[in-house]
Amino acid sequence: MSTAFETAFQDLASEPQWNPAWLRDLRQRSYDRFIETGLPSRRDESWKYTSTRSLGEASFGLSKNASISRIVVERLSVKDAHRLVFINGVYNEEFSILPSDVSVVALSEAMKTERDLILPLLGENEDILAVLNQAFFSSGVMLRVKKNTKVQKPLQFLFLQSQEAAATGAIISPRNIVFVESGAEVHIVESHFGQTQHFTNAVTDVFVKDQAYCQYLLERSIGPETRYVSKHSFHIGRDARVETFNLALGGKLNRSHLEFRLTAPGGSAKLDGLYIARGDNHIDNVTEVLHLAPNTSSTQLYKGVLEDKSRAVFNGKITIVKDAQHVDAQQLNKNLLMSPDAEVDSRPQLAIDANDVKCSHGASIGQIDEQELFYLQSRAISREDAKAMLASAFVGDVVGRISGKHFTKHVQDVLQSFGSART
Amino acid sequence: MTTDNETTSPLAQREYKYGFVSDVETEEFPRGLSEDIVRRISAVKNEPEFVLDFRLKAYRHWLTLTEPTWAQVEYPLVDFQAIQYYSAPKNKGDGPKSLSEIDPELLATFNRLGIPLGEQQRISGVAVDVVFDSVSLGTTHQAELEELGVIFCSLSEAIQNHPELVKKYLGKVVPYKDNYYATLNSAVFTDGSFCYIPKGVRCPLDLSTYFRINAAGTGQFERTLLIADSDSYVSYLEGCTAPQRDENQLHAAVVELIAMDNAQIKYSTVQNWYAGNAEGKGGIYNFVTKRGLCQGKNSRISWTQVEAGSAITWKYPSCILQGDGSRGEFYSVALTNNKMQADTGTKMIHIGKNTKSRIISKGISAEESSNTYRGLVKIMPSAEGARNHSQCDSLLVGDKCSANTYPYIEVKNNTAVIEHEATTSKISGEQIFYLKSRGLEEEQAIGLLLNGFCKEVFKELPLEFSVEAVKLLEMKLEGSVG
Repeated sequence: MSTAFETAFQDLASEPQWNPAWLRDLRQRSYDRFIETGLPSRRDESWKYTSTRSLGEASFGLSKNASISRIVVERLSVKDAHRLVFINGVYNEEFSILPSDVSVVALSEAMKTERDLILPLLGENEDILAVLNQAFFSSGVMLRVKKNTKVQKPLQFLFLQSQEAAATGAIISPRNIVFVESGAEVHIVESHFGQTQHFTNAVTDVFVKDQAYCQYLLERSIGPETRYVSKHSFHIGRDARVETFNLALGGKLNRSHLEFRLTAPGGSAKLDGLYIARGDNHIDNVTEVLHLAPNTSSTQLYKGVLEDKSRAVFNGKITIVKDAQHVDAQQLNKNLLMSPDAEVDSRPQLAIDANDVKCSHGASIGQIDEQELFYLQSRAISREDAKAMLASAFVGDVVGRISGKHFTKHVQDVLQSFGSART
Repeated sequence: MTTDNETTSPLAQREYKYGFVSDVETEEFPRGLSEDIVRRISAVKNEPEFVLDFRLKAYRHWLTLTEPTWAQVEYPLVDFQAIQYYSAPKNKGDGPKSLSEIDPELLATFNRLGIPLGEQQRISGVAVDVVFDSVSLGTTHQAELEELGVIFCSLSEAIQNHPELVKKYLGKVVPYKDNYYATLNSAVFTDGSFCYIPKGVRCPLDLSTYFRINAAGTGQFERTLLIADSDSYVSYLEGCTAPQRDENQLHAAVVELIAMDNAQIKYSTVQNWYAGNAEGKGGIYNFVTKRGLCQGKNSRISWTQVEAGSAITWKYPSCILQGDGSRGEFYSVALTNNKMQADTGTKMIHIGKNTKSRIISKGISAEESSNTYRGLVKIMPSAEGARNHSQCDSLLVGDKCSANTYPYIEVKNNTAVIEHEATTSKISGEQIFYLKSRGLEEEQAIGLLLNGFCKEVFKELPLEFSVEAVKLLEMKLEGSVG
C-alpha cells in the first residue's frame, strides 16, 4: 500500500505553492504515520461494515490538468448562489463567483497568508484518513463570516472532476475551514459530483460561534467507480444552531463521518440525511453527536433506499457526558430495501452518563408494503410506477425537512438527475 | 431526608443476604491451570475418552487465544493461574445414595437460601438440581420425571449414564472454539445440569438448577445442556448466589439449548451473585455464554433474565433461528448499582424462513454503575419473511451512572421487517410527586414505577420468580432514589 500514495506524495513535494516551508515537516510526519498505521481495517469498530480494500489496490497521483465545460458547471450549481469551483482539486477562478459581503478564498490562497489560522487546526488526529488528508491537502475553502453578518445568498463549494482525474487515479484532498462568528448566519453547500475513478478524502472544520446559525448541505452524487471519504466536525457554541443535510448518492465507496460537538448550553444540531445506493454501491454514514454541555439538543433522521446489490451502513452515536443535564437527543434511521440482494447494517447507539435527559433512538428496515402496492395497482397504476411513487414518498419526507428556501429545489434536481441516470 | 434515612436505614437493609460462607469439608485441586489439571478433572469424574478429548482440544485452543476487551467494562485482567478449577464437598464413604444422606451442613445452606432440597417438598412443584462449587449435590423429583422419560440430572451423571446423548449434543450449539471464556469452560467444566425431554412430552414440573459458589479462590465453570425433542415443552429456572468476599471470583458458564420441531423451551434466570461492596470491592465476574438453537420447524426458545448481581456481567443469551417458522425471545431486566458493570444483551440470528424474534430489554442503572445493552439482529439471505422487534429502555437513577445502548442490525434479505427502538430517561419527579400526593411513601412509589417499567419482562417469569424479582429490585434500589 505504501506505493499507492507514494507517487502522489512525491508530486506534491515538487509543488511549492501547495507545500510551503511551514507545512513540509507536518506533511512528512503525517504521511509517515499513515504509512505506518495503514488504512482502517474491519477490526476498527467504525469500519466494521466497510472495506477500504478499493483504496489500497490502486495507485494514486495528483491531477493538475483540468478542462470542463461551463455548461456542466452551470448545471450542477445551486441557482442564484455564490460559488467556488474546484476541478480535480484545483481552484478554478474562471467559473467561480465570489461574494462581496463575506471573506472567502480558496485554501491554496489562504496558505500563503493565513498560516496562523490554519496551523492550530492541524496536528495529531485519531482518524487515520484525516491524517492522510493532512499529508495531502491542497484544495478547499477558507471562509470567515464576520460577527452579526447575515450572508444573503448561499455559498457553494463545488468539487468537479474531469477525465484527466480518471487517467491519473487522482487523490483529491480538500480541507475546508469555516468560521461563523457570533450572531452571523450562513447557508453552505458542499458538492462532490465526480463520476470518474478517483479518490476524494475531505476534511472540514466548521466553527459556529455563540448565537450563530449555519445551514450546511453536504451532497455527493458520484459514479460507480468513485471513492469518497470525508470527516466533518461542527463545533457549536452557546445558543448556536447547526442544520445539516447529508445527501449520498452512488459511489463505489461513499463514506461520510459527521461529528457535532455541542460545547455550550443552548446549542442545537439538526442532522438529516438521505442515501440511495444501487448497482454495487457502498454507502457508509457515520454520525457522532457529542453533548458536552447541559441544555443542548439534537435531532436526526437518516433515510436510505437500497437497490440491486448495494449495501449501506448507518452508524450513529449519541454521547451525553456527565453533568450534561437537560439534554434532548433523538435519532432515527429508516431503510427501504428494494432488492433481495441489497444489504443494510444499522447501528444506532446511545452512550449516556447524565440522568436528567430525554433520549431516544430507533431504526427500522423494511420493504414496500404489498397492500399499498395492491391499492395503487387497483387504481390502474402499474406495479413499477406504484413502487416508484411509494419510494419517492419515503424519500420526500426527509427532503421536506430541509429548512429555508435555498436548497429544497436543488436537492430535488440532484435526485432527479440521479434517478434518470438509471438505465 | 435525614428522618427518612433513620426510619428505613436503607444501607442496613441493602446488605447482601446470601453472603454467608458454609463450613463444609472440601476436596480441592491446587491453584492454576495446566493440561495436567484438565486431565485430573476428567479423571476424578471418571469420564469417557470423548469428553477428555473435547477438554484437551479446548484447552489447547484456549492457549492460543487472548482475552477479549471490546465490552464496555473495566476490570484488572483475570489471573487464570490463581484460580482453583475444582472444589467439591468431601463425600463420606461412597457418596450419598439419596438426598437424605447429604451433609446436613449443606442442606442447611440451601435451606437458608430458600431452596427446598428435601423430597418432602414435593408440593412446591419444582424439580431442583443443586450445584455447589464444582459438583452437583443432587436432583429432586427424579423418579417422578423418569416415569415420563424425562432425563434430568447433573451433567456428570449424564456423561456416565447417557454418554450417547452427551456425545451427540455437547458443543453443538457452543463449539469449543466459540470464544475465550466458552473455550476455557470447555476445558475445565466441572458440572452443571443435563436435561432431555423426549418426544411429545410436556414436562409437568418446572425444572430448576441452583448454583452456589462457596469455596474461596475457586472459579465456577458449569455447563448446562438442555434438549427438547419434537413437540415437547419445558420451563427451566436458574438461580445463583455466592458468599460475600473481598476477592473477585470468576464464573464462566456455558448453557446450550436445543429445540427440535415444535418444541418449546422457556429458560428463566434470576442472577444474584454477590456484586461487591459499595466501593466496588469483591464480587463475581459473570462471563457466561448462553445460546439456544431452534433446530426444528416452529420451535421456540425464550430467555428471560433478571440480572441483579455480579460485579461484572458479560452475557448475551442468543437464539439461532434455524428451523422455518421458529421463534426466539429475549426478555431482560438488568439492574446495576454501586460500582457494578453490566454489558448484556442478545443475538438473534435468523436463518430459517418466517422466523420471528422479539427483544425486550430494560436496564436500570443506579449510583456509579454502568449498564450497557449490546445486541445483534442478523437476517441471513435465506431468512425470507423474517421479523424482529426490539425495545431497549434504560432508566437512570442518580447522576453518576451511565446507560448505553449498542444495537447491531444486519439485514441481508429484503423481505425482512425490523424495528428497533430505545429510550433513556429517569424516574420523573412529577410521577413520584403524584403518587405521594395519593398517600404512597416515596419508596413505595418508586417500587410501583419500577414494577411498571419492568412489567413486560416480569410477566414472562414464572410466578414465584416474578414476586422474588420485584422484591429483589426494590431491595437493591432502596435509598438510592430521592
